[in-house]
Amino acid sequence: MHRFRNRFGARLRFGFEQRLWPRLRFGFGPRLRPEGKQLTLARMRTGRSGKVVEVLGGRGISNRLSALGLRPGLRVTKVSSMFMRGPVTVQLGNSQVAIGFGMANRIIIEPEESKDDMP
Amino acid sequence: MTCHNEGTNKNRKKSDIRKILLVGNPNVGKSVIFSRLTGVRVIASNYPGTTVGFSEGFMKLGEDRVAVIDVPGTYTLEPTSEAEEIASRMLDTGDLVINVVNATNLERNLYLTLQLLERNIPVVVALNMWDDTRHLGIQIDLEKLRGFLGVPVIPTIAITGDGIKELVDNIPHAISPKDPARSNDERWATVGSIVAQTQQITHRHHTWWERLGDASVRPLSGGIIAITVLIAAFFIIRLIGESLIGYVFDPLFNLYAPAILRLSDLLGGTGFLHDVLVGKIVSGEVNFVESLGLLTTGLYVPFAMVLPYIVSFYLVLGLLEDTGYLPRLAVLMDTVMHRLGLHGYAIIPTMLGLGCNVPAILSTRILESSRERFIAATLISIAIPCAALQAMIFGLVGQYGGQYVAIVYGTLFIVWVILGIILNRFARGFSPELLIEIPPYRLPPWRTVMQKLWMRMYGFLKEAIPIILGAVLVINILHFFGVFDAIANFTAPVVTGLLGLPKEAVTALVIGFLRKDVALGMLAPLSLTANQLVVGSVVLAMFFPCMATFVIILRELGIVNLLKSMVIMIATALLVGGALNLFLP
Repeated sequence: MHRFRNRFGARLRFGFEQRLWPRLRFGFGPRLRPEGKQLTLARMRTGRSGKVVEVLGGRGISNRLSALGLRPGLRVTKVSSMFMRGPVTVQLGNSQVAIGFGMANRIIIEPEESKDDMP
Repeated sequence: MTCHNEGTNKNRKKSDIRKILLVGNPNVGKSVIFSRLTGVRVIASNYPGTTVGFSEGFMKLGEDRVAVIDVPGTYTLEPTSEAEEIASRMLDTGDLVINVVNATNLERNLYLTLQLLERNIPVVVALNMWDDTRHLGIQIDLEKLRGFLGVPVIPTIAITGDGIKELVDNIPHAISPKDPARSNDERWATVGSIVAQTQQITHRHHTWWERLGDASVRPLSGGIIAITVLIAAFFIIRLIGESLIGYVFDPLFNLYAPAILRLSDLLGGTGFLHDVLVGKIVSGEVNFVESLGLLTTGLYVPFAMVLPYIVSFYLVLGLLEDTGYLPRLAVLMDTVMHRLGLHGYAIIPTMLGLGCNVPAILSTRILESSRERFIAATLISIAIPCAALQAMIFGLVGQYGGQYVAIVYGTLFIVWVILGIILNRFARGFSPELLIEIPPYRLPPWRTVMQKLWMRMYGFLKEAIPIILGAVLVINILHFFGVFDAIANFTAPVVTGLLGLPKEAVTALVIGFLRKDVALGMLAPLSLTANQLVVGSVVLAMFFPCMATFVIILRELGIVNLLKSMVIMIATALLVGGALNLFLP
């Protein structure tokens, strides 16, 4: 029945729940962050880079993203994001892709260490 | 491959190939290669989705004449938008594919290449933008790449024409390796290993252009750049348009006026033929705007009022298109456009609509859902005046002062926003999110900018002038038979009561169906007040699409959506026109 599960086995359905899911995972305080430093592309800071871990959501979305070259395992650098939940621009190799906020919020990134993280 | 083998292969292929398809990712230069191969000029720009329909041309291949088709760009053969669907459907009709690949972005481009190699169709790969690989520090081992793909791979620089001859020479060598079908993951894995073994990247610093590119999608710097660009665009368009009118076309028509007066004398100064050719001569002077004759208004409106603005508008639009600014504007506008039920990319049809609504509505194909296309097309045909109409607004309303032009534009803009919000609430379906590739900034060669400008100018002259002359002729005939008076009396309650215009103004609304520029010109002889002219311009812009737009909406959206759109148009036009009439001081 539930074709869309993330790797923790949680169900993903279209609609509200699906949109809420990344926020549940990463949005409400540090206790709910399961995998160390992982966060969504929408929440990553501008200028930082990271590896795409997974794309939450249906096949449609992950197909469209991967056609543009954004798929798990690839390194992306966030170029910019617009305020008011505007689109996120990322650098992928030699190309740049602009991604709507909702979609960017379903792309899970493992950020690289940067100087800012040093104590 | 032995010589003998190659020879037979060539002979067999030559007779087989009837139709060559140019297939590739968006914005890799297919349209430029198409122009190079066929000599047919098509619009090429620096943003993904320039080509939404398909263009067909012919080239010589040996002794044969072969059809070449410029297929809209697609990232994958599993279509996600209408343009991609067209691409994937057309693949079944061709005999050979020239796969245009962006050499600076092998990884993503090869995915489509692999999909093509799995199909039963011979493929040649054109590795385009070859010159850019050097600037970007990319080295590609061509021999290895040929080995992996099993088809000819030819480096090309379409914009200068380098490599096109080799590409044509290699068309007969195209083969279909008929790779076994792979799953998506397998395909990406194959692409990954091919790229790893054929491409080397040396590190380099960011160029000035790239920094500017990044700055134009950041909120603050991007906003400043956008405002600067748009204001500059507006003033350049005004400057060039006004200069062309003031220094070129008006002097020319002043030289031409005495000839018309002599012709008027020759025809006796009155009569049907005189009215059709020369129109009304007021106190021995030719008034090119108001006389409504074929040889006066019929020529003056298209050449001296509209053409200068067509030239200046398309020059600036061409620069915006070719530098790659438009997709960045789309990113900046995305949040705003979402309120209107669209996403940022809809800014591109909207900008095109400021030139002509027909290509604008065609280009709504770059939007994914039918809901977005309906909203975009309706908004464009209501609130986006085409360059011809705008030129007339500047020409006629501008006489009374800039503030009246500002009222016209302000009203249209407010209608665009409010109607968008309403449509967003009530139109059924869904609007997907923005997902676009942002091309690098490029400095377009002047020659290509000018070529494109010439194409669009020629297109205007070829399509608009017969209709303008036809409209002037129709006006004269309808006047002669008194048809307008009948209509005017019939519609007087609405036109006079609601809009506050003289009842004869309805003729302009009727002619607006043919050409809006001529229609607005028809308001000139009615000696309207500035406010009435504002109401007239706004209503004319919103009321009804011109014939060409009407047909294109019908074709693109279907009859049901066209009717819905029409109801919205008429209702808004009357509502806004009435409101303006009431509230303008």
